[in-house]
Amino acid sequence: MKIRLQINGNTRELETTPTRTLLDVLRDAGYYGVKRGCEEGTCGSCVVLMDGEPHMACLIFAPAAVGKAITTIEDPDGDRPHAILRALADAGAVQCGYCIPGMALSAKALLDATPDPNEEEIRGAMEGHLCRCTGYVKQVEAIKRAAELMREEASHE
Amino acid sequence: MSNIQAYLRPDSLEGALALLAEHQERARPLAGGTSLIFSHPPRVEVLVDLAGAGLDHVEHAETGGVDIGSMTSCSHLATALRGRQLDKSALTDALATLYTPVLRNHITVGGNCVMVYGWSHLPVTMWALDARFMVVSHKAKPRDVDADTFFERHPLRWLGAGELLTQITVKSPAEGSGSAFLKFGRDKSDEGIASVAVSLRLQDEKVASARLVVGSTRPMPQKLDDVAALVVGKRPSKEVFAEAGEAAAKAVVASDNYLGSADYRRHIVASLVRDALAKATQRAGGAA
Repeated sequence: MKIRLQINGNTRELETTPTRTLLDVLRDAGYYGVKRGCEEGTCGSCVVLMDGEPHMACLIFAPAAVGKAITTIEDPDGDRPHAILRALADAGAVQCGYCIPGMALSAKALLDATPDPNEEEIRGAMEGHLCRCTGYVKQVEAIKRAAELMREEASHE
Repeated sequence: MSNIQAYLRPDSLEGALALLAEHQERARPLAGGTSLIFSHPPRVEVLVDLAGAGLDHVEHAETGGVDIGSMTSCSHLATALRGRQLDKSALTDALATLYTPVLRNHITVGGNCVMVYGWSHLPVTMWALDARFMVVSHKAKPRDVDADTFFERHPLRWLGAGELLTQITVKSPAEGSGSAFLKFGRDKSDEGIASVAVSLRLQDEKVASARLVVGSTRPMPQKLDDVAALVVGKRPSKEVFAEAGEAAAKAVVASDNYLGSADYRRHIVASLVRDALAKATQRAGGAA
């Protein structure tokens, strides 16, 4: 069956079966930033945003995503690297990087809804994102810094 | 899951019910999808996606109760309850620790109540809160099912092919009442080793009524009426609640799994029952 998905602001017509996951369909379409991890909703590496809300792409039948605005790490908010990605790099929060696309998107959903989160809120939003390299401290620091950067950018607009 | 050949997304509840009636056992309604994506129902050939059925809603009654559409996600319900009368209740306790925030965006209230896994918090909570369940089917009269009936057996064993849970109603908390849900797991968002939901009402500084449900010690939750009866008519106290906890540990059926032995789960149940009763009492305006 063919489905039309809204991905990063573009409409894509993609081939699927009723039970292929959104993870499989997105990766087949070239969105390799959607990482294949546990495939059982535990690790968070396949998180994408659907209508601005984090969802595990491995837990969604692809046809269920029709009508939703899907955001992958390939293009969150335009041309230049997003403040969250810059902050993650600056903080040294990325080692192997496998968990980062999912974490960054969950962070984006958090900061879009809560521009000045406290540490508890940041750690809460990161629950379910497993990182085997860094121990999470740097990511929490990076998301705090990203919040500052996003507020500064908003004040200049 | 190669046996599933069709994915249908009707744009109304009536459309969904008609499709479920037409395909009977060959069709399976799709809510959040977290169960179906892992299971391989051998006879299922058609998925009926309920996203367009208009079942994602939360309506607050003036008295403080709430009608919850079965397709409402757990995260949306938690947001809708903020600042309402059911905030700081067993329901919000359960929603806050039901797996991870991302999974709470997937898991629907109806799906969690119908599928009833050991990790499902909402059956435990809804049973303790004496919720009501609206079950509808094509061309048949809707059924308003009480919690005792809904969870007496696994819902999938008694819901007929073509029947759909459309709404869960949690009544307004009576004056002097409080509720609490507690889970003990390896971490906040993990599957529970044991969980307990309690609701009670105080009158004249005594417990006038109580409901107590234990979850996670086996797949189906267990309502322990005899244990709840131990606290009724008594003044709330640490001793009374500890006694109830010990009685719950003896009464509950528990099984071994990778998270803990049956004996360990019973030990945890004793503590959770004691603490949940104290927390519910505090919320009801009393002290233990």
